[in-house]
Amino acid sequence: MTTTIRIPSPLRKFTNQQAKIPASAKTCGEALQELFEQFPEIQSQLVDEQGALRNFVNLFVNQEDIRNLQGLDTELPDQSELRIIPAIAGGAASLSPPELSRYARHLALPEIGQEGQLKLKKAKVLVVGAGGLGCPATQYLAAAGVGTIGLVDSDVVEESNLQRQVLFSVAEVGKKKVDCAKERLLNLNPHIEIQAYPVTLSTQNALEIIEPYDLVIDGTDNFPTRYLVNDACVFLNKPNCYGSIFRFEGQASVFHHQGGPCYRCLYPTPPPPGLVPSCAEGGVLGVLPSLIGSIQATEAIKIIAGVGTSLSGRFLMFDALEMEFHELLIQRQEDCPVCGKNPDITELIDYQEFCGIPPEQPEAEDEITVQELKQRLDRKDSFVLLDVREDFELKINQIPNHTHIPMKEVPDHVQQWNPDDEIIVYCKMGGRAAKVRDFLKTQGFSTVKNLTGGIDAWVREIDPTQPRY
Amino acid sequence: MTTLLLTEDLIQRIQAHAIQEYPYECCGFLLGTLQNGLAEALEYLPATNQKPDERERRFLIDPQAYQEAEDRADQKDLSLISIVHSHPDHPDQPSEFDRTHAWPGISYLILAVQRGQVVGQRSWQLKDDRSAFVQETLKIL
Repeated sequence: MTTTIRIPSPLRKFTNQQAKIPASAKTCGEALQELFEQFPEIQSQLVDEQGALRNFVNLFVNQEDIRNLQGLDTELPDQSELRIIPAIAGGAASLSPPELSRYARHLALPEIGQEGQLKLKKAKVLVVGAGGLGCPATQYLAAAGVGTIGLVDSDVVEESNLQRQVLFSVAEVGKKKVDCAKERLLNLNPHIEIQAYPVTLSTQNALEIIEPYDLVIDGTDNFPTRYLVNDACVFLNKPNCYGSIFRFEGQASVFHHQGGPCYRCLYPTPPPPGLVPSCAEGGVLGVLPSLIGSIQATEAIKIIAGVGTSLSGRFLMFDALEMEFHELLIQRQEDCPVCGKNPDITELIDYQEFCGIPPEQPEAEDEITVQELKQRLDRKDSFVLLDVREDFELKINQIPNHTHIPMKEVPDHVQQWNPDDEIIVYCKMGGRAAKVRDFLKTQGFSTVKNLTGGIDAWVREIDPTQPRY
Repeated sequence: MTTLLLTEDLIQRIQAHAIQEYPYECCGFLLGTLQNGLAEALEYLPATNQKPDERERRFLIDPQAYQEAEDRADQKDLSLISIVHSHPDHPDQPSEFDRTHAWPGISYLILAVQRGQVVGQRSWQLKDDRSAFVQETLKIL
């Protein structure tokens, strides 16, 4: 029994230019094995690493495609001709000429190239938070050609955002952040899609919003949302490019990726409320988030393109004042409540409660509205109006007849009031003032109230001549 | 470095085919002689782009057409030296799709056709390890 294997012209360089190779095999598969034994170099052209026939290789036995017969088990009658025929296919790239010229600097990188650029085009990245981190991250993702970028934020642009949130302009103050961001990003790159979610990420909507995306960039500024993003990413099995900023320092890592730890492996529980001040309270160097947000975007792009070493298992810390980067090695914890061996938490929980933040139900006797305060000031009622903000904040706006004691110094000054004095406390938004109110109550002051919405509400509703921040 | 040699007459026939098929991709074969890295084209065989859809950016040649081209070459004691195709409104460089569907040992002549005009033509060979295309010299006599 002999069969003639007909070699196509391009492959004859692997058979010493022979067009016809005799074989004695009984089936097509065996005939190929015989061929590979004789000419080993031809093997990788015909079959892939797993030994399967490459999809553009056709085998014909006596003019019939073996796919219409018994495949590689097709028997070879005596004097058969087994012909190897390339399915000749090809075509232009899926990137259009404007895209090719736009991404030329990426295409020049062997690590990215057309293949990587197409991966970026097909990729979907969700950015949670259109703030200091979200702005640079989305800008670079858009510029780099990430095909679909989702952006979640319910806030409007405020004047105090412009010091670091570089997507927004003066004219956009008061407008929805995600709408402004979408317009700006599409101007930057019309070849991509932007999905705007003008909502707060919550236990109710997080899984639904995150699910369609390949990975998440966490640009949140608070603990409840950070734990929510972490847990949702673990449950949906998405890498989480984490970043956070405070004053002059930043942190970055990649969680739940390549078997590495999640945020809870590092911090199983949040700090007590109030221990770690927010950026609104503690301040942040405007340029700092551009560095950390860019690191998050870099990690996202690397993960999509499948290049380099990710920050998974490493916790990067940056100090802008010292201009230093430090790195900690972090590990997945077997007893992690979310990604450990026997997780306690298997679905999203109430993250406000988890982080010890009481639900927003101000008790009437503990709160006072800005309108009420205005009436009482106009009536010249007798009470202490206590401003607990920092010095720099008072240079921006003030309420008349206040006493100024920064929050931290309040315990040193409690002797100056009588327990029967009525005290009305305010800060910027009401967070610090509520803590001071609760503290003063423990010190025996019977009537202490928090100005609801802080001086921000006062300026907005009573005295718009003063600036907001 | 390999070289693909074409006569002026042959390249004009190929260009005319690419323009005629625009905005779809044209495809065909070059038969000729192959010696010491020099491929000299003697005959152009246009083929039909059998792709049912996306013919603006994909082509497919029927295995039967390939067999006929190769038989013809064998009968004339020539080799099938090149697979020709056009890229409508795209540059004359191989795509990732081209790479994964190509074989080494043969020239891939690609014509860039912009708005119905041929604006470029380059020839390429796949490396033996299939990792990338290398541009070869294209000489027109």
